[in-house]
Amino acid sequence: MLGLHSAGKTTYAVVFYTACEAGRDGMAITKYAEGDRAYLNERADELANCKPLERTSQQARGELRLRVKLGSNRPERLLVMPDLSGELLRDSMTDRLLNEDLSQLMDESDAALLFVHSNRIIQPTNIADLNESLRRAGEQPGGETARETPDDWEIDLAATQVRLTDIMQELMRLRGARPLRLGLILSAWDTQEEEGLSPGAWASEYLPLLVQMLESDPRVDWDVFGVSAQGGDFFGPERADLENTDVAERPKVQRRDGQSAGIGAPLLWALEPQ
Amino acid sequence: MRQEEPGSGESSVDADGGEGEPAGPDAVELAAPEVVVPAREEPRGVPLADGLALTVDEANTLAASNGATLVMPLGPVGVGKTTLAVQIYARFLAQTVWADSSFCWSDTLLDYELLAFPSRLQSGADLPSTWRTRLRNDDGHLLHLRLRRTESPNTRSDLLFANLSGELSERVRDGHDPDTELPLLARSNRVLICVDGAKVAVPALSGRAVSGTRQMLRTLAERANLAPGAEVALVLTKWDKVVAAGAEQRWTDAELEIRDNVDALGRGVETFRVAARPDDAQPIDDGMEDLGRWLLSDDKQPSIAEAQVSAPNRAMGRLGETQA
Repeated sequence: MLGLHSAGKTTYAVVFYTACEAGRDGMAITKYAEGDRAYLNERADELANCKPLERTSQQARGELRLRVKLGSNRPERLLVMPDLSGELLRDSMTDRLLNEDLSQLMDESDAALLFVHSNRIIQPTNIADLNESLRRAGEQPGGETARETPDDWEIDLAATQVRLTDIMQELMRLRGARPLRLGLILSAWDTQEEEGLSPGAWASEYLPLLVQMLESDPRVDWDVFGVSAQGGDFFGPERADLENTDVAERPKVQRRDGQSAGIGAPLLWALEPQ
Repeated sequence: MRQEEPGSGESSVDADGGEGEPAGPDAVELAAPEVVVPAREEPRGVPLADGLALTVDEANTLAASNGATLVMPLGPVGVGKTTLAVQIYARFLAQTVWADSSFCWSDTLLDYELLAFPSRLQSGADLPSTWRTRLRNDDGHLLHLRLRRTESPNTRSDLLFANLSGELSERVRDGHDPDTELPLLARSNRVLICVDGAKVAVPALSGRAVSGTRQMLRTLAERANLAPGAEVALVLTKWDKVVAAGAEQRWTDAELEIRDNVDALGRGVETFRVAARPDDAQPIDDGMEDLGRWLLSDDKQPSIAEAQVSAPNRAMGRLGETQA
């Protein structure tokens, strides 16, 4: 799982775990007397109490390591998803030095899930568009141009679609000719309901540079999912409903075309193409 | 200040820091306290590409397998050369198909983002601008876009935009040798002669803008060695300002004046009127898609491997200066 900080990776992993453990969508944990699920259970308890998970620090890392079946007719597999902090990826891209853990993970993986928080996109909104709105409203824009110098610019200021494109370019550069199945996960998908867009249409609208890059790279086989692992905003009006719903039953997932799917759908797509 | 016990055989230093008498034979030498300076931990990880403008060598490596189209915008400081290059990139942030093409890759993504930043709301500015030509070092000044055309999606086209200071063009205008001032010009496939629409919009300044363009074109015609197959276009920038000033006819007349000078280069005369980044979103044809299609119509993609950088480029521009 990849993504910048607070992109929803941990929440997805924990909710997937609870759904798998509860046997949702034909999924099942096939071996219990193995590994240590303390981290997952502690996080699941927090979600059950409608407490959003704090972002994973670089020190306190967990891991999802389960023997599972991703469907009733699916083979058993050992699923390992290290829960690496998004700060590792962020710092890697800032420093232009890929963290060794991340590098090893990418070397060992044939598939990845790239998370992006759908409600925290930095858009490349032009001043010209705002000025047009001001003029229409009868106001005049101010006269100041940008005062910061190029030396003040940092990668955190880049548009989200560019940061994600940068990440994918560098990961694919390091992979050479090796193919990659990539699931693009639009997390907090419930926040985008009013847009009325399918995940595929949303990605083209808000992340066009990334979509173009993924479409054009013959090594990348990609798909996109809208995922609300929490099922809604813990601090919004839907909290009352969420408090009455089991963690495993809360998530809402949509495929590229807007069709509903289970929480395991992105993993199933990434790991078992058939 | 290290203090020695007497008798160490070495000069001792007294409390005032001056040298005292030599130490006696029974002196016990105290070892200086050992100070361990921890070695600075080298960051570990796998190096990533820096995403900054390419040097000629880096561009040659990129072009080695598939060739590239080198685009050389020429024109004085402030005409909008950098803005033109950056705004072509910016079009692909807004839509998945532009000028019948889609984005594939860029080796200079971070420099594009940096150069685009002053035109975005995030910068906190009221008016859009472009930071003046930013260079990683003396040689890194090529911005890169890899695109594919809708009609032939399996074919990739690499565009390299030379992001050079307008002062170099001004020196050519003033009569200096183009091959010395602009070594990459000899390997450029698409040369854009840029004229500042903001000056054309002002009656008192229009003549100077036209004169400067004419002088540069005459110098190029007399001394420049353009690559076989290179094509030249006359590009009026900031077309929105010309329209806003009602100066369209002034430019049409000036364009007729300059066309002969462009034609004298023997590379055809394409003309474009563009508003790469208008101050506000006016309902005019910004001309950018036509320019984009023309840039991508280059079927010949010679390598730029033979570009000879004969002298360090001067006056490459200073960081931190903005241009409207």
